[in-house]
Formats: sequence, C-alpha cells, structure tokens
Amino acid sequence: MPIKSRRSRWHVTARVLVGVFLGYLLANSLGLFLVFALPMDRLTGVAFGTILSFLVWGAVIMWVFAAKRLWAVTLSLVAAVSVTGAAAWGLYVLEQSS
Amino acid sequence: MNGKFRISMTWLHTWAGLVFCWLLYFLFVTGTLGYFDSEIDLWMTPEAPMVEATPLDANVVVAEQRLAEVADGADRWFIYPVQSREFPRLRVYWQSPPEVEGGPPRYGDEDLDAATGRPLPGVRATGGGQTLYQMHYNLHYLPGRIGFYLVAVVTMVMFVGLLTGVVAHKKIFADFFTFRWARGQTTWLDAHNLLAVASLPFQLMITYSGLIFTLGLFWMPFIVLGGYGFDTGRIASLPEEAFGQQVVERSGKAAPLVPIGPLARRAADEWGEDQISFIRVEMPGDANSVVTVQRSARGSVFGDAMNFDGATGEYAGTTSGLPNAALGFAGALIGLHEGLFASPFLRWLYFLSGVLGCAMIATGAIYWVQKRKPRMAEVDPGRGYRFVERMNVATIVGLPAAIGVYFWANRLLPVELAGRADWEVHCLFLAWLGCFVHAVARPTPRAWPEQCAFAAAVFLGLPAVNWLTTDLHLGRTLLAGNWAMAGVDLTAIAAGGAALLAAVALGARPAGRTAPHAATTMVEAGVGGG
Repeated sequence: MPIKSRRSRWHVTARVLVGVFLGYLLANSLGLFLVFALPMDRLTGVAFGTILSFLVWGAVIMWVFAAKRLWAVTLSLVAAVSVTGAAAWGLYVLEQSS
Repeated sequence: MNGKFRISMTWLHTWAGLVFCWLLYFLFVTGTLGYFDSEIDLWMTPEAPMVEATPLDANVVVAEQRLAEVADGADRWFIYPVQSREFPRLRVYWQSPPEVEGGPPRYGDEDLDAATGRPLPGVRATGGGQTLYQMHYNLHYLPGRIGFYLVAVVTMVMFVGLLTGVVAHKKIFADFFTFRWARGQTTWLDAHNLLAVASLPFQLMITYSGLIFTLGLFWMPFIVLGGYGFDTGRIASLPEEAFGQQVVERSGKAAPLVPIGPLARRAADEWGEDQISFIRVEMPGDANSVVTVQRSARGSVFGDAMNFDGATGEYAGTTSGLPNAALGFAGALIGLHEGLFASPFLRWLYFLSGVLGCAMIATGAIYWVQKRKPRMAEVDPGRGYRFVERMNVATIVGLPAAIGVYFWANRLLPVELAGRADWEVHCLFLAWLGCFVHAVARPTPRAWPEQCAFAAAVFLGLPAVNWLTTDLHLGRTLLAGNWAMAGVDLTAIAAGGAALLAAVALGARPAGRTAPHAATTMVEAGVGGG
C-alpha cells in the first residue's frame, strides 16, 4: 500500500501510533504480570520479563500492521493491557497482604 | 504464511527500513569498527611504546604505590593490570569525592610504565577507536541521552525489520542459493536476501542484545519499578542484590590499606594467572575499606569477584558472576554483543558479520531506488526518489570515506592543537558533510564513481600518510608483529582497493544509469579502515 492519498497517510500514522504506544504498554504490563505470576524470585522474574518484553512489542507492531481493521486491534490491545495490568496489580496487592 | 500477511509485512519492512536505513548504516559501520576499538586506539597513539607482558604481582605493587601518591583520600581505586587486548597497558583509575557537597565526583586515570610505576610519557590527544565505537550508541554530537534514546528507537526498528524481513520471504532457504547477476533490481534484491540470510543469526543476536542494552534498563521501566512495588529504595540496592556489589560507607577511622599484591596473588592462584580483570579498592585508607578482585568474565559480562577486608586483608567471600538464569542469559547476550573476549579469529568473524550487516542495509536502500527507477529517462521520478538516491551515495560511500578522513586527521593535525581529539571528529563530520554537498551537486550516476574514487584515495593513501608521519610503516610493523598497527594499514589497503575497483567499474558505465552492480563489491568491502 503506497502512501498516496491523505487518508492512507493518516491510516499509516494511526497504525504507527497504535503499534508503538499500545505495543509498548502491553510489553510492560504483560512483563509485569509475568513478574508476579511466575514462580521465580523477584530479580529473575524482572530480568525474564524485560528480556521477553521486546518480543511482545515486536509482535504487536507486526500484528497492528497486518490487521485488516485497525479499531478491532486497538480494542483488543486496550483490553489486553487492562487485563494484564489489573491482574499484575491484583497479584501485587495479594502478595503485600499475605 | 498467507499472502495478505506477507504483503503487509513486506510493506512494513520496506518503509520502516527506508526511513531508518541511513542511521542504521551509521550504527552498523561505527559499531563494526568498534570490534577493533583497542587496536585503533593503539594505531592512533603511535608514540606510545609497545608494552611487553609483565607479571601480575609487579603490576599491582607499582600501581598501588602510584595510587597512594596521586589519589590519596580517593573513594575508589581501580587497577587494570596488563592484559592481552583490552588493557595492553597498566592503567589506574580513581574516583575522588566531589569538591562541593552533592557535586559530581571527580575522576582521574593514568597509564603506567609497568616496570617503574611512573606515568607513561604523554601521547597525542586523540578520540581513538573508543570515540568511533561510542558513536554507535551516543551519535556523538547529540546532548545528554538523546542519542541513546534515538539509538534505542532505531534498534527496535531493526528488530521489527528483521522479523518482517523473514516473513517477507517466500522461501528463505532457497533465497540463500539464488543470485542472479547483472539483472538490475533483481540482482540488488538477491544480494540483499543473500547477505541477510547469511548473517541472520548474527543480526538477530546483535539487535536483541542491543535492545536489552539500550532499552532493557531504561525503556521498560514499569517491569523493573512495578516488580518492586515502585519502591525506589529497594531499586537503588538492586546492583548490590544482583551482582553482590557492596555499598561501602566511610567510617571516618583511618586504617592503613594492606598490600594488595598478595590478595591479587591469592585470586590468581585460584583462577589462573590471566584471569584477573581488575582490582577495585573501596575507601582506601579507611577502616571499612574493601578490596575486590574481579575475575574476567569469559563469554559474559559478569565475572566472579573475590572480596577482602582492606584493613586486615581477611578473605570476605566470593560473589558469583551469575546471580540467576535470566540475568545470566542477558549477560551472555551482552557479552556476545561486545565480543570482548573473542579470540583474533572470532574477532574477525564479528567484524565480517558486521560488514555483512552494513552491506545488507546498503543493498536494501539501493534496491528501493532500483525498483522505482523510471523506465524512460525523461520521466521525472519525483523528489522523494532523488532524495533517497542522494542520501544513498553520501551515506553508503561517503560515510566510510569520512571515517578514513578521521584516521588522516589523527596523523596530520598538529599535536599541540587545542581540542585536538574533538577536531579529529569534526574532520570526520566535515568530510561527510562534504560528501552530502557533492551528492546533491552532482548527477547521481556521476556521484557514485566520484565518491568511490575519493574513498579509494583516502584509504589507499592512509598507509602512506602513516609512513610519512611516523616511522611505523608496514615493512616494520609486519616484521615486528605489531598487528594492531599493521592491521589498520592492511585493512585500509583492502578497503581502498575495493573502492577503486568500484570507482573504475562505475565510471566505465554510460551516464544515465544509476548505481550499477559493481557497487556491490564496494559495499561489501569498502565499509571502513579498521
């Protein structure tokens, strides 16, 4: 899809923004979720989550550009960030109270 | 893989690649030369005497004496004994407390004569190989951390570029055996594929480890911060937790430091003579002082460390260089990225893989132009096309030539010039700027052979300049087995020869055809003089 019309330019910009920012958020929230969910000591979990996060980010960017409907991907990503973020927070609270 | 997915991934590969290819090329060229940073350092300080291997114990004794003279009252001492490659000279560093409360700590360093412990005679001020190597992550002129962040972005683009590039292939294995010579754009695509597939493992390794380097610590903060419940106090103690680095507080009570020699000896007896990376002394002269002997980390960045009480010399345990599996993995990746402990053969393999990476990026950029070349000369290809075409010449050929100029500047700038090391770098970027001006001013089919000829002159002239300005010509350095000196000269000859071939081949073609195929040779071999 060559960038010809103004509309497709916006299209590309939107995908770049969604892929980069939501991908970044998901990489972080999923990584954080894994830190609390996986049965590892904290330091190992943090290192593991960080190493893994780039794969997640890269995959999200590819997915955003491959998808037919951008709004569907965006919604899914927002949902995924919310769920993993909430789960990470829940696990953290649980850990603190125990 | 379904067709639609591949088409969208090819699109992403093309455009993400095009936007960032010149910056990526810059990172790859300077980073590749970084594999020989220490050798370039030696080439750039020709007046320094060649150092013979000296015993560890003598090194430590003279270094300790010298530090007591110049760095009494410092917070921290470092002694780097003479080692094979990274520290060919005995070197000491120290960190003194800030002059004003809360100010920045002060640092000092000296190269010492390992026999006498006196500082080595001054060498010319030079950026050396280190400045060249550091460009690939700080982009030199950019203030603060901006260059670093930009590099992080580009590294992520490179990673996506590799993933999408793999997807973009119909048959990745067959491509490895496909090369169609002299077929215009097809040849460029084949070359791009061949280079990419041949070096894919290296590219993936270097990019992913680069991500962990640049982004891991700075750009994925939520995982680290959140993992510790945003408790900053806990995070400040992470280095200690991860690597057993003790935070030593000054007690205020003076206690003379024990001789360090026997402590280093004990570590050397246990690990082996050539295994000592450096010796660190925290708060020398204080009752709380700690002496740490750091082991070389073969194949990783973290090595074991043996600790001693600095006031009594008592053994205080060994901390492991491998705190856990995940950090071990990260450490191994970073170790792979740097190739710090690579043997000469492996080091050349690294260099070659880096060159393949440069060539991969260059052929991709040229393919973009070739694919969009108008079939008829009178058709205007558009502003964007002409911009890319010119950027390609000035970057692909111009940058290596400008780096050659950096080497010339090291020999030709007057030794007493103020800010000499900075001027070496200014020469590099002025020469590169000149290449951009030239690429804009000249029709592109002429600009290619002309810049190749310039690169050939720069690189073939370098050994001659070296000969005229020092007495260390190839005849002498080869006979003396001075491989750092001779290696730079020989590599310059190889690069210059390739650039000359490219210039002749490109110049012989009728005008009106852009970037003909012979440039491949130039791209493959002409990336620099390291």
